[in-house]
Amino acid sequence: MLKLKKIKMGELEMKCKSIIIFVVIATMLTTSGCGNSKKSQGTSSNASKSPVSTTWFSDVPFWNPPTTWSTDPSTVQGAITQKTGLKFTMNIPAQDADAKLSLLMVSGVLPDVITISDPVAIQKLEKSKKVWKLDDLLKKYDPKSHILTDFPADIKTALVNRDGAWYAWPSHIISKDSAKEYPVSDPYYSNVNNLGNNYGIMFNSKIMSQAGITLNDLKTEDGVLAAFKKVNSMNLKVNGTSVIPMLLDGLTYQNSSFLTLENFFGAMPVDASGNYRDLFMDPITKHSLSFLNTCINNNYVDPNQLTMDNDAVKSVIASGRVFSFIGNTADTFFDANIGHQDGWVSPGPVLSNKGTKPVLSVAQQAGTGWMQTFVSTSAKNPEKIAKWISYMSSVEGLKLTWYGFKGKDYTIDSKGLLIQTTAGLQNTKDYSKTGTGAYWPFANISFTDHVIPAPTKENAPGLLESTTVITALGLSKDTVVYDSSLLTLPNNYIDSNSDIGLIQTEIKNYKLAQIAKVVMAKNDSSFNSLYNDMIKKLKDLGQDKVDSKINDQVQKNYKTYNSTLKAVNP
Amino acid sequence: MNESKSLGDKVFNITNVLIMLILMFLTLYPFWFSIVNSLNDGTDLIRGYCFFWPRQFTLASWRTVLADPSIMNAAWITASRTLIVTVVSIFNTAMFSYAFSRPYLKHKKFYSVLGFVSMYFSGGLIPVFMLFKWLGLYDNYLVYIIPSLFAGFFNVIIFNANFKAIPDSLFESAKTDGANEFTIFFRIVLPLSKPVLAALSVFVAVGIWNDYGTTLFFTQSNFLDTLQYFTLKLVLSSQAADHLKNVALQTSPELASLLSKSAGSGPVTSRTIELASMVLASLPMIIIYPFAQKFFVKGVMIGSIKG
Amino acid sequence: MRKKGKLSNKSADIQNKAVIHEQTKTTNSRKSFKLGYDFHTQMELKLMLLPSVILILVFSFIPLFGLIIAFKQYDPITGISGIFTSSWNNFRNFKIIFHSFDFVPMLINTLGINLLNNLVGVPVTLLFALLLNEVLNSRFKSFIQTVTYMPHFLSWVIYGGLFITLLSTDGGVVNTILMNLHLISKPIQFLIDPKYFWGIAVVTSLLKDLGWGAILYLSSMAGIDMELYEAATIDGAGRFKKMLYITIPGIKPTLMILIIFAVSGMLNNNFTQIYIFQNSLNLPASQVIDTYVYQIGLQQLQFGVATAVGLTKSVFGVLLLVGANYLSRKLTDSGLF
Repeated sequence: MLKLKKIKMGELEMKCKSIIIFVVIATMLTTSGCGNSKKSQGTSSNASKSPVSTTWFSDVPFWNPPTTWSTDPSTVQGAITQKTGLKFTMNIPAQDADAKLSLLMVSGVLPDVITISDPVAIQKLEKSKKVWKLDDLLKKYDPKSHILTDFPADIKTALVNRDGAWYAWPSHIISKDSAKEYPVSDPYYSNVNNLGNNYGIMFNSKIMSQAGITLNDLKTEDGVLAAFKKVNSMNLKVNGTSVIPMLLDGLTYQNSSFLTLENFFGAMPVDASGNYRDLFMDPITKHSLSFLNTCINNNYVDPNQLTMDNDAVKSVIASGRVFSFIGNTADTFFDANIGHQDGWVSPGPVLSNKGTKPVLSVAQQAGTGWMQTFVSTSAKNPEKIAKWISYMSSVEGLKLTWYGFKGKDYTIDSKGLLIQTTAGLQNTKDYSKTGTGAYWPFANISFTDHVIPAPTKENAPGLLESTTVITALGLSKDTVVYDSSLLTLPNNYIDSNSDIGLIQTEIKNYKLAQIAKVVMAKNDSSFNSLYNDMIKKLKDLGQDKVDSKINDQVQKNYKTYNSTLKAVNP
Repeated sequence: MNESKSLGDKVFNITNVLIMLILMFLTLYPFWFSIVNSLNDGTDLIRGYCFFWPRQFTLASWRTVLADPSIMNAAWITASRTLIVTVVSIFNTAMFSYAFSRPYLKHKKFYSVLGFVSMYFSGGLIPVFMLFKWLGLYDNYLVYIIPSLFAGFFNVIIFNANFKAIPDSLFESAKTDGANEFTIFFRIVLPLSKPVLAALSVFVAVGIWNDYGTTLFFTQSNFLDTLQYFTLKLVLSSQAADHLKNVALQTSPELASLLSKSAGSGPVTSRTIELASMVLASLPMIIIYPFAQKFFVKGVMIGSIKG
Repeated sequence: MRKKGKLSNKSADIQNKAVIHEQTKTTNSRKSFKLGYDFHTQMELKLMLLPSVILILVFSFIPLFGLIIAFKQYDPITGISGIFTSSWNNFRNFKIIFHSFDFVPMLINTLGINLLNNLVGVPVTLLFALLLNEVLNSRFKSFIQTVTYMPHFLSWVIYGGLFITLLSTDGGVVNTILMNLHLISKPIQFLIDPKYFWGIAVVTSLLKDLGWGAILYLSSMAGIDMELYEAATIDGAGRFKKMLYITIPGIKPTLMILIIFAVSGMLNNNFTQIYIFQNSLNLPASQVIDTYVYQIGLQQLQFGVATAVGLTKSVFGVLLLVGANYLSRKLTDSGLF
């Protein structure tokens, strides 16, 4: 028997051996291949003709510029290389990028160019003193740079206030000073920039006409509630499925739909004397919650909406059966091809039946943009990088990186405005392959609003429709606009690990569950008692401590900007 | 008596088959659902999922995933890594487990402590990262191989249970014939353990195949991307539009137009890419499984005790 | 242990006796053979253990120095030396986990969902494996195995998303069927009502990993001696008796191991799954430790807290392991090793 086994073992041994041999060869091949390609990636710094390889790291996982850098001068990247002598290796982790950055910090080797958006990471990077102050970098290596003269002063002030010095190049530059440098080509842009807000309410004009409701009817709270009642009683159907009177923003309803109501009814995060206190503590909040509660109890809103993810929201909107949507209108993608045929309109604010004025917060001081780009002090080619930054932010560079090549991708019309050709538009659409419009860290909104004409009904009907909706609240004469910059806090003002930070976390979690309970209350008395309990509990958890800490900074802001906020509806 | 037995048997068999069919439907359906929706037009998909068959059939999403030039490299990295690690680590761990299972092994407590601590305690990301750097493994293909060559103490425990179940008489006769430990391991223990070797190989192979954490934290060059990491990146970048709207500068018409350009207009959307890449990335492991199942065949131990 | 005796070099007799003694010992021994304590065998065994020991020491033990981070206020800027020079922070990193006013309900959810998962999952998977084992046609059996193992590869985003669609009150399939069968008059709010959450988590988990979980059971069953079944048939045992008295005892070691590990993993939830099904309305039943840690913004930048959470779970895991192993030995005479 053992002999039999021995024969079978022979086979097995052979198999084992052949597998082992294969494994060894495979390992050798792959590691040698790995070694080779590593060598070929080496940089040659002596010949100034061949482009220098620079690493570019980002913590925005969905930023997707082309992964391989092309040096062909007829491409956007190639043109950049031609002008600056640099080519880039992108390092954009799919997830947990800030953890990766921390690891790189620990190991002491930072990428050459770092573009990040997370405030904590930004703060850590600055504290590490391993990044250049941009003034110093430019003065030393590109003293003739246009940046030293034309960078918007108000944004620079905001950056220095935030970071202590000018370390970061901000993306999506837009401010009063930048608008002076690049005036808008059309009031459309200044409306959108200054008064646009994605949080709002929009109504489906098709269903409106079916139900005999006009936009005028929808300007007040009572009017809206009456419209919902009417829609429900008429039992309207679209494609066989019943019409939904009001759609909330799915899972994120507490952040968007609810906050929209707060705006409509005039809740503000400051009290009558201008002291900061959390928006939720404004007594008007009770009214906003009660509105939601009424809608749920009267079957205008199905509680299932509170569990929908964004895909479900989009799909319901696309089905055409939604009468009204309240929340972040961009969440519905209604300006894309699907859905905009419903003719969405907005009355602007929905006036509270208690007579309070609607508000809208707009950042009126210069902001600091979204993505922040740093240059590491260990970068080997600071001169080339400095010149690269100057190029990317110059008129020539912006035109190239956002629109491509003149003639092929765009033409200039009689007013001097830039018109994209079909090829150019396609290139912008495929930005992750062509690079046209892919370099978000250098986006300059004032510039693009300056060189491009406003969209028209012919070339961008969806966009116009959405613009009308998002500016409705701001343009309404009833709305009181207030400056939200007075409420901005420095980066990581409250560390999440600190005592106050912990209280904030507690409160955030408590609200999540409790607000849900309040809006689902079955009758007035339970609504009232749940609401009162909630306010009391928030105070017990330490809301006052948090408010007072934030108020310290807000009072400082008042002094800095020489302006005060007071509650519009005390 | 025979008749009632066979009637009872028949009923049992039919019921069993029915139960299996129901279970298969319940488990196959979600996969079928994913395939069907990945083959549907993306813009159409916004209206809602298809439940049994695509409403608007298109291969566009599959083509987009497969046409990306980096996918071949990613597939090669993943396949080679899975094969090498599975074969070597299972073999190595089985060998360790064999020695561990011998009752005459001295200092067994030491190895147990070693094993359990390695299973339950971890220093976290930072020390592992630094260790890999010191060893030159960071951003090196070998980071996929070397640290994984021991398959984990859990597998040792499973192997141990199986090896202990092998009758002592086999070992005794082998020893009498003058066999050393290695010979016993190769010629007796391994052949008799085919089922558990196959099962644990499946576990290890699937684990390695699905891993993207190593790529995420311990590499940075694109050519070292594994298939899972590659598909993760693909899905994320297709979801760019979804995320952009959450960014503070929502009101910018820049972003708005970027949104409408990259958002679901066309046959390929982020959702169909997500589905297509998920389906495609899992297919190899599903196709390979039946080959491993051949080892779950009863009767491995036939006749081993006789004689 | 029988030492190799000092042989008197006087008489071959004694040598012969020793040889005969050794031979008789071989044929007589039944329980354990004393061979093996010799130097050669030990060296061979050590050689077999060596590669893995090196790997464990290098890749699992050396990094353990990082556990200090759990007790310190560590900032990655300070680099590696910072791990040793940062200040001790008085268990603050640990307090954060317990700080929540909701800690007890969270703990109950964490343990409850896991307990339910195990109480339902282990027997059902085992039953499935047993029934699968009884399928006569081997092609069909192989087909079933492959199909039931497929959902394991679907991401929870997709798999969970599918169930959310199916369970919706607004035209979801489950509610539609139940209403058409007149079993309910209004749609059941599966995703809203906290009382359904645990059930949904367990059932979806079960369906997803049924085939996967059965793999170990099936491979164990393959190792059971066929003769035992044959003997049982001769004795007149039916299928159920065979399952009960041969199959289950035959896989007892594997079964107990899986149960012990399930118990020791009681503090770890499947984060992705819970996260997908969690919403503001079912939070009282769906908030578990892992999702809480995620929500308080503990991305890996807070290395100290993340390490502290990991360490706490590890310690509890080991304690549960030891406890479960002890119980298992007492009750079933079978343990981890």
